[in-house]
Amino acid sequence: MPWRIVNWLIGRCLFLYLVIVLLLLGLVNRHVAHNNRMNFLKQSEVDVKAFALGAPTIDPAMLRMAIRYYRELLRFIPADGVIHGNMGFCYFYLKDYPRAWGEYQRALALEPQLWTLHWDSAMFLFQNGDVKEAAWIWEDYLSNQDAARKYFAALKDQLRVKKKEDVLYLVQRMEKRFAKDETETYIKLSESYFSLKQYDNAQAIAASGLKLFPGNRWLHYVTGLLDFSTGHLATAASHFAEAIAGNPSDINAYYYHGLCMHGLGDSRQQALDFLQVSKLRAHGVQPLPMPKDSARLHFNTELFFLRYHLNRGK
Amino acid sequence: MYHSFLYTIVIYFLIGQMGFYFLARTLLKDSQAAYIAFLFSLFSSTGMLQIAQFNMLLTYVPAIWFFYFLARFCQQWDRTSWIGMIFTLMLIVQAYLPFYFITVLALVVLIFVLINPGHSKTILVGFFRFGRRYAVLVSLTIVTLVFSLIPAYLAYHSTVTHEVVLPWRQNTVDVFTKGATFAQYKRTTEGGLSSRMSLDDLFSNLDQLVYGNDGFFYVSGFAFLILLMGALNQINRRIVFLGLLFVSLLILTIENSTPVHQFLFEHLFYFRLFRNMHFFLPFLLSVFVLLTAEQARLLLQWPECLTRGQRGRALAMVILVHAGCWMFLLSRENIIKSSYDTIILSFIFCVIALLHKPRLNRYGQPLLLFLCIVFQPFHVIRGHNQLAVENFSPTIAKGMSVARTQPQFSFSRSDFQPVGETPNQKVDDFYWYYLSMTDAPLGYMASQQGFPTFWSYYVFKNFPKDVVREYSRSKFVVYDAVELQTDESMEFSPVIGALREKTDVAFVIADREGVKNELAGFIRKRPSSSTQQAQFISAPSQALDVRHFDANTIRFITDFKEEKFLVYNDSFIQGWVAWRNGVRVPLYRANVAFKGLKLPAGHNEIELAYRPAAGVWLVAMLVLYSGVFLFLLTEAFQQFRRKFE
Repeated sequence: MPWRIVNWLIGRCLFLYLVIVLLLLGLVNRHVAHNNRMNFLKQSEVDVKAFALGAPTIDPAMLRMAIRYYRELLRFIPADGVIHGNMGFCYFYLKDYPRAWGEYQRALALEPQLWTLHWDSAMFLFQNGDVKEAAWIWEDYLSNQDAARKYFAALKDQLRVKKKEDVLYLVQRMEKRFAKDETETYIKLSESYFSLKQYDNAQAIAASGLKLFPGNRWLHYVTGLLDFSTGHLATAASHFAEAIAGNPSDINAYYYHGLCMHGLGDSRQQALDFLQVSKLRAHGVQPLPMPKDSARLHFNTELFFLRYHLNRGK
Repeated sequence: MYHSFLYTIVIYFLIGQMGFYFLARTLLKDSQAAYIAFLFSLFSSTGMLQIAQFNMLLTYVPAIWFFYFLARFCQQWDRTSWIGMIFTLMLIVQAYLPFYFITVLALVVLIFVLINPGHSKTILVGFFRFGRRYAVLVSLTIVTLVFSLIPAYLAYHSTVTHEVVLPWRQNTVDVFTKGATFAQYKRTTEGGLSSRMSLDDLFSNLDQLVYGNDGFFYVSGFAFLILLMGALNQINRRIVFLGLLFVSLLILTIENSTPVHQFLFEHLFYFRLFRNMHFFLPFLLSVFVLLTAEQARLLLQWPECLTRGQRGRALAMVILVHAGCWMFLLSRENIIKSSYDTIILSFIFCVIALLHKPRLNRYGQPLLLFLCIVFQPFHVIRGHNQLAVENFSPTIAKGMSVARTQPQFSFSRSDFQPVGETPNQKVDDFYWYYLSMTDAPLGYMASQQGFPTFWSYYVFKNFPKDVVREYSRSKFVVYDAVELQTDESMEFSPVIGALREKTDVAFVIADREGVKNELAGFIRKRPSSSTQQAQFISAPSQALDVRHFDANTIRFITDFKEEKFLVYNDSFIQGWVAWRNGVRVPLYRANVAFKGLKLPAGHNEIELAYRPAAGVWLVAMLVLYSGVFLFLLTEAFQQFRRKFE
């Protein structure tokens, strides 16, 4: 009976398929094939990184390719928050929000010290309308500033101990980005409180932000908006004037400054402000979006490389 | 220009697909199976690949027609098929690297002989009989075929004799010694299919196939269903032949992922001459499609041969296969909806066309087949097209805006510098610069692409950059003295020094005895010339003015008071000839890499032109090919008329 089955099978196409599969399994060096595949998929990371750093568009196929790359990478390094975070980034821009959120949560569960991902999670919630939760995460983010700085300092020490000063620039880049996020957190947090109608909190946050970063024109602009909406026109006008000093092409700041002047009865200054707005428009100047309003989240590769350098030669 | 190029390659591709239909009909001996094969092929990634990378098309189309003529010849032993075979072979050896075709042909022959030893002997005898019967025709066509090999041979010869170099094939160390053969195995493995083939690539993200990616395997999902349903079909020699051919090609296409390709690279000489194994992909797809069509042919026989009991078991298998595929797709990410729709359509097709008796009518079945095959590719190709439109290459867009089609002459080269941030963008900038049809910029070697002449590339690579740039700024340099060198005794340091100082002495590569009379006056002046400076001509004047310029010719007039030696800073290569006042005069290699000639005092009309010896052959062959093509057309038309009558 078994021989009859074998004979029957040999005469069928299934047998040929089996031979082909076995031949390929025997001949293909899966390690080399996998390396080839990884090298091919890795190309997408260049495009994704360029997009994260400000390139205007990205081919969705590149984001999908990057996801495939990270998925393959996770087979070798399963507990890496950075990889999950980067996958979240790709899913976010593919507008696959549930998967993006899942990846961010996985990343943070694995590595709570990934500060940029906390920021991204808050931004994610903010963009999806969950402003209260976003504000909560941003508050938490601000309260962890010292821990973050200590973390960066520890990383630097580790690199110095291992005599890897040549890659210190990666930590410096992370620190720079962290500092930028800190400023923007004050802006977004006050914006969140403003939309939650918690005006006192909004003003308190903006004021603390201004104490730390007195020259930041965005914080002046936001504080000006808060003052304007609560009727403090004189202080609002001074903040808008600071914003204009920071960027003489800021159409929005001119506009609100003009409105404040109207409220304060200075019609000459009001006319000058509005004239400036029309001049700037005629020159094609567009109102600047708020920082991060284009929702450019973080794409982390520095920490990944740092780990590689720290673990090498162990 | 760009659009006409696109139309041409699309029409050429369709001619190839027509050939594929005929090939399928000849091999499978079934019109319906040929129709299925045609649809699968037309709506596979064959088109997407070949339109993006038309080098594949240049080999694939004549190769498909060759295999059609070969299959027909082995069945009918007719003269038309023989001429068709020779004609397509002539196209193959001239269009692009013929090694892909040679490999496929070798595999076809090898596997065929292994599977059909008896039939192979009959075919061999048939060839001899045909040769004896039509000896004149066979001799003539083979001579023609040999002639058609001349351009390919000359191109190869120019690399062997170091007239040109292929920088992109070698690293810089090997470029001046290795010719066309790849020195390193690694260089031949860039672009293999193993990097782009996984289950994800076959079934997921099909609406995101990137335009310009010239290495992906896509066939309508219905093909996989047919192959699975055909798993229990009785095996036949045709299926074994196609199956083995498919796996052999696949092994080559995935390059270094198996030891086979490296073995061939090391032991079979011509495997050192080509890379881009993914160029086998159209062949691989065609074999896969033929295998699928053969399986479909066997499946379409079910209504006639299945008993009632067998029909029940077949229905169970159909359900199992379709449900299994559905579950498989559910387990993957980003599966397009039309993949599921194809499973539904395929199930309907199987129930109505394979398990239902009587058969569908003559329109119903082809229509249902059409829907099953085309439904998913329609979605995929639309997505591919959208991505192509969205990511329209800026280089091509810029190139399309160039109105000029004739190169422009200028006495000085521009100081053009690429502005791109990445190396690829820099190369793009150079391409764009070249598309503007102006002179090559200073330094004149934009990238590692193309086939630069040996000595120009040598100068570009080994001479100080500032010296080369400054020297080549002017196209014409006039000298009073000449120093002779030979290839063997050439020393570069005095040349570099002279170019840097602009000394009034040109270095000419020539045999002293051979040029004694022609250049004697210049050689005598040598001792007193070291302090004088050469005359760099940067604008037209009475002494020198250009009258005509195109890619292969330059005509100019000169009027110097004394005799001079002129160096035209354009690459020297065999095939360029010079006429002075209508009389052919010697053209020398001067200052290592450029063209030089003697100018007597007074008025001269000079013409330099590219007239390679093989040029006459090329014209003769063009006439010959046109004749063969017209003959084939007439023959085909007459056959069609006879059939029609």
